[in-house]
Parts: sequence; structure tokens; C-alpha cells
Amino acid sequence: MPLNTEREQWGSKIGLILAVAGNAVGLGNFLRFPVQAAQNGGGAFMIPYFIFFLILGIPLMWIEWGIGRHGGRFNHGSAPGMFDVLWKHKLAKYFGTLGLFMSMVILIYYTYIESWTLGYSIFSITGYYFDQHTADAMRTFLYNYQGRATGEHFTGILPAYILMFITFGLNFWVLFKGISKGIEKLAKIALPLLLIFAAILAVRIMFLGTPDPSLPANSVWNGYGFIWNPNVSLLSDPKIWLAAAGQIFFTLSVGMGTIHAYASYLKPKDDIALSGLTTAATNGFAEVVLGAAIAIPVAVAFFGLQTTQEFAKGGAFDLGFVSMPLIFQRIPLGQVLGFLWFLLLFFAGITSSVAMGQPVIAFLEDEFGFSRKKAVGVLATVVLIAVQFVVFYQKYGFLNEMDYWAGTFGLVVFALVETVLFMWVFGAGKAWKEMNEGGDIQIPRVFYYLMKFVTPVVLFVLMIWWFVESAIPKLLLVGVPDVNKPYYWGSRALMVVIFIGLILLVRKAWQLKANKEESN
Amino acid sequence: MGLTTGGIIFLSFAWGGVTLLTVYCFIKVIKSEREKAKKKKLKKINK
Repeated sequence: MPLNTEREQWGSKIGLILAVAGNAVGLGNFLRFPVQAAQNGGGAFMIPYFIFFLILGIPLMWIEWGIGRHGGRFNHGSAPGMFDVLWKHKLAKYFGTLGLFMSMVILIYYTYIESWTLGYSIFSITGYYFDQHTADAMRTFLYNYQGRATGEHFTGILPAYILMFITFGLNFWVLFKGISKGIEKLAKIALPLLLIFAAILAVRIMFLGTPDPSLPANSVWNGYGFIWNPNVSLLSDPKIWLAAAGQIFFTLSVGMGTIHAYASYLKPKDDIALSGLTTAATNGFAEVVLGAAIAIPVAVAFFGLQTTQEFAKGGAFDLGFVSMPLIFQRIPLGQVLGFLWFLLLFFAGITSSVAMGQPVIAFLEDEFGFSRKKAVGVLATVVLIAVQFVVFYQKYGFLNEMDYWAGTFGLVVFALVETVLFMWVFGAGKAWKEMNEGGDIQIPRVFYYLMKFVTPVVLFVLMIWWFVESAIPKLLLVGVPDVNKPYYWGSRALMVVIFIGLILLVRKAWQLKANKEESN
Repeated sequence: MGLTTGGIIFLSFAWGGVTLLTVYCFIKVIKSEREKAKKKKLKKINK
């Protein structure tokens, strides 16, 4: 097979690092992380968080960069081709289909969520929700915007739909422009901007102190104390460890085939050891330093610890779209700060969502010889059709179902498969050599053993835990109202159709290749 | 509650560690990029 001489390339190493970091830094850093910390004992959560950052996050980063660059050497920019190179078995490419499926399904609903942040940035600067003073009113505003409830602010779903369309257009325009001129350019602008916005918010919040002196317990420092005071007594609870492992897993955007796709555009001797570590560190900085300094401290300062925990129980959307808008109404320059908050979420979202589009585009380009324009067009058409179900059936749980199977459980399955394939089937020795080749740093030897033994075991435990704890009840639709059940099944049917479609495409691509080789 | 001494130490280590690692990595990346660019220039000149 020829080396990658004709494929697109990154313009610069910094550009690539910012693009992969942009992929990792997403809504999870600023919304999921604070929710997880608040739900799992604050300070107690941070100890396993750092342990898993070292034994799970960084190793997985290197594994995915390694698989990606290795696959790119053989002109494969997506998981089916990459797995086929790693494991000379006819089933390998079908395992790789998971890398297309996960990124595509997440892209479908993530674009819609991303569009809410764009909408809320506009509502913040115009003060459109500034007449909603309670959590219930703010929640109704959100549901009204999403078309889930009637209200005075929106007469229908049209505004949400238009903003979804704009977000969708922006994503596919960036993807159409290509690796260097689209994705890299976006990352070079959006990532620094979002970090600056987050820093402005974090500093402003730090100086809020105790907003209401008559309630001294409601202070920013109590928020900080909640996250950072180490509570060793809670460490015996396995749930906290698994939640921390899960967060590390999500925050780095591993297990969805996106990092592989980006790394495939590297030259065979380009560094991946330092680039992978820089990406993980940048994501850690965005989460631990900035993400931890915004939502929870400010929520504790305005609502107190107990109410903040209740918001957290409501999930990331409650914290981001209900509690934060309430706070912006009470802070001087709240309209501007709210605008910055939602715009930073939008930038975090778009740098992640363009990454989710890349694996399928690379697959169509590399395996079918599609032009970029044609590949982007095909993906855009499929996503645009599928997103209609998400927009109109969101209130029935359509989005939640996709998020669980593709955006939660599926990720750990794919990560386990790729780790086993790379470190055990391809061989730990060869994998280690691949990851260190052309490296600007030498990966410490201890990571060899971590990647070979610890990472797959942690992933396996995580997968089993989630399977027992949540996958079985989810599968059996426990707690789902009867009226929503047909939509849950509809969501599953859509995912099955996408998965089968991708499997058939993979089969067709390899058939075409076999025919071509025969005729040669 | 506020930040306890343990909390301040933990926060300092966490923020310090992550920030140092990020800055160290970026400095190293920039340095290696510059060295590679220099080498390329030298090669061109030698040719």
C-alpha cells in the first residue's frame, strides 16, 4: 500500500493540537464536569478523577493517536480501514464501523444541543429571558424554546429550528473547507477565544465573594471548598470511582473515532507522543482550572450548596440553561457575561461537532474515492434528515435514547475494542514503537504496562458496571412513560438503520477494493 | 465551610500541575516546530 502522499495534511502542528484539543474541549468540560463533581461528593470526586486522568485518559489519547497515524499511513482516515490494518481478519473492518456509527449518531443530536447555546447567547445579550426569575420559570422558558411547552416567549419551535439550521450550516461549511482551511482554522480561532471567555468568567466569579451578606454560607469560596476540600471518607464508594473514570472518558472525546480521523492526516514520522499529551493537558486545563471555577462556585454563591446539588441532579442542562441564566440576571453586566458563557459553550460545541463529522467524510473519501464536496454533501443530507426526529421528538426522549447508546455506552465499548486490538492483537511491542516513532518526547515506560493491562481492565469494568447499572434498565425502558415508549423504539430503529447502513457501506467498499485488486 | 487547608493544598497542586503540564507541553511543541523549520531552511540552503 502506498504511503499517504495525496491526502490532505494539517497546516501546522499547533493547528493539529488545537483541533484535537477543540474536539476534546466541549460542553462536557463546562457542564458535565461540574454536574459530576457536584453529584459525587465534590472534593472526593477529584482524587479518582486525577488518578484516571493518568491511567485511562492519557493512555487512551496515545492509543487513538497511534491507531490514527498508523491507519493514515495506509490511506485510511476512519476506523474500519484502520482496524483492518491492525488485525488481518475479515471481521476487523466491521468492528471499525463502530467508529463511524458513534461519531455520526452523536453529531446528529449534538448539533441541535449546540444550537441552543447559540440561541441562548443571543437571548443573553438581548436580555430576552431576563424576566424569568425562578428556576421553574427558566425551565419553562427552555422547554418553550425547545417546543416542549407553550409559553409567552416562543409561539412555536421555529426559532429553535432556524438556529439549528444555522448551526448545522456552519458545521458543514467548516467541514467542506477541509482539514487545514476549515477545521484547523476554526480551532485556531475558537479554542483560544473560548479559553479567554472562560478565564474572564472564572475571574469575575472569583471576585463575587458573598453576593448576599445576610446569607454568609452562600459564597464563592464555599463553592470552591465543595469541589476542592478532599473528602477521603467517601473514597470507599465505588460509584465515585466509576463516575470519575466515566468523566475522564467523556471529557477527552475518546471512543468515537474522531481522534483517529484527525491523526490520520499526519505524516508517518510526525510526533504523536508530545501532541497527544499536549491535547490531554489542554483539555485538563479547560476542565480543572476553568470548568471547575465557573458553574459550581457561582451557583453555590447565589443558591447555596443544597440547591446547587439539586440543580446538578437535574443534569447538565439544568445547570447550564436554568441556573446560569438565573445568575446572570443578578450580576452586574449579566447580559454580557451570559453572552460570553453561551458563546464559549457554542465554540466548545462546534470544535467538537466538526470532529464528529470527519470520520464519515474520511471514510467516503478514502474508501469510495468521493470528493470532499460529495462526501460532505452525503453526510449533511443524512444528518439533516435524522436531526428532524431529534428536534420534533425530543420531548418524548428521542435525544436521550441516542445519547445513552451512542454517546455513553457505545463509547466505552469502542474504546475497549480499540485498546484490545492495538495492544493485544496488533501487539503491544509494535504499538509502543508506533506511538513513540518520531516523538518529540519519549513516553515513560510505565505507560506501556498501563496501556496493556490497566486501561483495558478499567474499560472492561466500566462497561460491565454501566451494563448492569444502566444499560439493562434502559433496554427494558424502566421508568419510561407509556406515551414515550414508541419514540424510544423509534430512536432505536433509527440507530439500527444507521448502523446497518454503515455496515453495508463498509462491505461494499471492501468488495470494490477486492474487485479492483483482481482486475489489476 | 470555605476552603480548608487541605482544599487549598489540593487546589494548588491540581491547578499548578495541570497548568504547568499544559505550558510545558506547548513550549516544547513550539521549540520543536522552530527547530524543524530551521533544519528545513538549512537543507534548502545546502542544496
